[in-house]
Amino acid sequence: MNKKDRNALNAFRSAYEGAEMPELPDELSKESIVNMLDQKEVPKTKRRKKYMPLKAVLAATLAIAVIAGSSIVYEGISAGVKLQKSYTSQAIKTASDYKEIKEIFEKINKQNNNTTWFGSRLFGKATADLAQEEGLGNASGNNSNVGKTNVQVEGVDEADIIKNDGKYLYRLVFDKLYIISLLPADKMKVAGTINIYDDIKIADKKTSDVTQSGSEGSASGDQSGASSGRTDAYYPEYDYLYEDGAIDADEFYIYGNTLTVLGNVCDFTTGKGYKTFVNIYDITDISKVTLKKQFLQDGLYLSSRLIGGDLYILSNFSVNLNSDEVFMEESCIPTSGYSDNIKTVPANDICIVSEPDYPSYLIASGLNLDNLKAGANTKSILGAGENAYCNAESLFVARTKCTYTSNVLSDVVAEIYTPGAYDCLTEIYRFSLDDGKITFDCKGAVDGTIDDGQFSMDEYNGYFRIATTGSDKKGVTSGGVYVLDKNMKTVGKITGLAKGERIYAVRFIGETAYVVTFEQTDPLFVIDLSKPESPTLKGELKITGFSEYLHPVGKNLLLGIGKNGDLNGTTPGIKISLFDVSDPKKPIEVDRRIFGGNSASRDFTTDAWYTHKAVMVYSEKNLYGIPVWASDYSSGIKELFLTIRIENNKIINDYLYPLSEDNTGYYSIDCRGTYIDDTIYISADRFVKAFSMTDGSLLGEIEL
Amino acid sequence: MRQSDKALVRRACLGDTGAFGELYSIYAPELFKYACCVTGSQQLAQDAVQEAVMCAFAEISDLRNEDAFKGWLFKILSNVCKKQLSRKIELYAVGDAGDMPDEGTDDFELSAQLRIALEGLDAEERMVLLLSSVNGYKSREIALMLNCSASTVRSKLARTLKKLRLELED
Repeated sequence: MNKKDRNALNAFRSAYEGAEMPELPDELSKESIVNMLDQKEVPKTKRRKKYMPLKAVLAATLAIAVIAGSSIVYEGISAGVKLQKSYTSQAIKTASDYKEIKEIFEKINKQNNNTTWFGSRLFGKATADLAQEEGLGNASGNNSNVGKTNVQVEGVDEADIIKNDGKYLYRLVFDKLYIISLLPADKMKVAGTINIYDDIKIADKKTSDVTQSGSEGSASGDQSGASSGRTDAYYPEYDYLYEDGAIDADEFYIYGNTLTVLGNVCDFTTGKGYKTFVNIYDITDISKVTLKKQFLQDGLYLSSRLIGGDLYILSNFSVNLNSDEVFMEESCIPTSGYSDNIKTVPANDICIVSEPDYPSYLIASGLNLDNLKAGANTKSILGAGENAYCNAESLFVARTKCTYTSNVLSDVVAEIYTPGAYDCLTEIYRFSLDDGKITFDCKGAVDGTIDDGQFSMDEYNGYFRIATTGSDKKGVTSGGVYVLDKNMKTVGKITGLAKGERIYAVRFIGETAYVVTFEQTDPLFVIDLSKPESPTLKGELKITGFSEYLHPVGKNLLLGIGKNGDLNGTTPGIKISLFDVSDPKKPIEVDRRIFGGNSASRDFTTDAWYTHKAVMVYSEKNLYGIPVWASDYSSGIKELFLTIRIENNKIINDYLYPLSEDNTGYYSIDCRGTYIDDTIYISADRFVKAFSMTDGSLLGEIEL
Repeated sequence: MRQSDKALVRRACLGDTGAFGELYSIYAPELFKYACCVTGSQQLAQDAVQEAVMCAFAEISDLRNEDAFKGWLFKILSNVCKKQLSRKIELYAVGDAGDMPDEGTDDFELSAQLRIALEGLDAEERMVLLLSSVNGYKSREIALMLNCSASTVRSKLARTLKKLRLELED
């Protein structure tokens, strides 16, 4: 912890200790409490209402991003009660020169002098932490008995913190990438490591005690949460906020003999703040991994996709409006390129879609990993993005934009989401992709906000489909599915699904959309999209609990991974449901399993709630796996990996692999499972363990 | 924890409300102050402490480590506070907020500085800040209370402190 933080903490502590607090009310006196306990029969199992879901917190947080001067185009009010808006799709206009861009930012700067900005929330790690969006498509081999990252679109690979090529397991832990030889399972060993930090080549990188892997460090503070040997001094998430040169390696790809790591590096000295780095390594010889190229672009890393050898990278670049006159032009023009040849993005590659309201860019670059000499192709758009959906031909980036409509300023100050206080829409940018070249096509918008990240979007037969949660003037929420044509113009929609609820999970499969909403019970809606102009609700199913992630199993089944619940809302525990959707008019929950207790002091959670990449899919065996955390304050956390099989429309409990159990705080994070044939390899940040999938026995383990 | 307090935990595990009351009274002011700061409302804090206590008494027989009593109580209270806040949002959604006080437009007076510090933070950030700076819990302990990883706690704290610095410097 640095001195400034310590001072802030001390200032807070004194303010807290010196503050006059309300007296303990009579109702909370010992006598009243004992009386209350004596009089009331305290139920052993209590009915609970739902806790505020993480996604709602995110939505609420995003809703705070108050944007002045919205660019919504109102085309009149329909006959309906609800205020209906329609949005014009907007085509490309590139900047004529940098002067035009500078003038735009100066204008935004003037407009926003009296506006409260919550920019860091939109673009910072907070979004990434909460949304954790992104997750098959490993190019190195098509062996179906080798685990791949669970991805949204087949053939479009998504980066992750673990990859398996059938021989080696690649595991990213903070800024270090381990290459572990997996075979045989009882003789796993670390065959090589890559220190990502050492390979970052920004001009002003500091080589102090920021990220020296393996050193004990000397900084004070609690070290227990970090992996062994790490200290506050170079804890990446922590440094990420402050130190120039500090890096945050997020995720990576394996493509043939190329390993590509993506993340962020702090570079405040140039006035640009954060840069997204793409380190491209040659891993032909595992014992001698070499950095082939490094690509850098301005802004915080948002997402990426790999299609064949074409890598597409997205970042959000927030312009520093506090720059002085001279610095302004430099700081408001984005840059990108290989580290030895970073250039400003040409004015005619900077698109001005509409009068921008936020001082930021969405930067999209494409490069071909098979031909790095060809250079990269970068497009910048005034705006920003939060979620990306990508198929082989198109990339869609969505962004929530909210206009504050309430006069209750305290709500804004207190950052409390008051339904109805915000008028939210989702803007979608459409890009065409071709051999690593990226072209911006147009932008469209629909009502409401995306609640299920990238899975809220899909393209099929030339139509883009998106599911959002909107709200009326009274703040009553409901779900909607919109169909947009190639020009991003809405051609069909169905709205008003599940009034008073929010969307929790979406899966588009061909001409059908499956949408899960939740308030107290979980309706699964089946929407027919065969006629793009007139989406129709075919069927719905109400059950307790809800799904956070939906995965298609064969043609007629859907696996839902979510939260347990009763008629009053959620209860602790993980719920896995199997839906038979063969009859769209009558979806049925054919089986379910609940894992976890029913207690406020114990919780069962899984990363699968937050990222589809945490779901291990072994299609050949109809087997699915998720990491599980069983947390109990008095006995600590047990880490487990749960596998189930789907057989004859039933969920069969397979194994609950024990990973670690302790109360020392040295438990691990970011657990993933993968496999080679009948061996399951489970890796968190501190270990890789191999188990037999035949008898559940531990075959081997290795510490990282 | 004192031996006498451990004995109270064991008695409370057997359903002794008096023993539970004794234990509760040790931590009541701390619990209430914590809930006030997290929810920003005296009424919500009172409801939260009451509900947390009911819940804790119902589940105390599951508490295996007597020394963990206080942290366990804070975990339950944190969960209940989160629920209180989300319930308030639900009530808004159905137009039945009634006299429910707003967070931020609190029904008690905080010192100006503390108020400024807390206003810019959301409930989870307040929890992390209070549990670490005031109650002195380590990140791994807070992680167990808030059901997240210690690294998440640390990054949340880093972010919170950054915001706090900005607020206090203003």
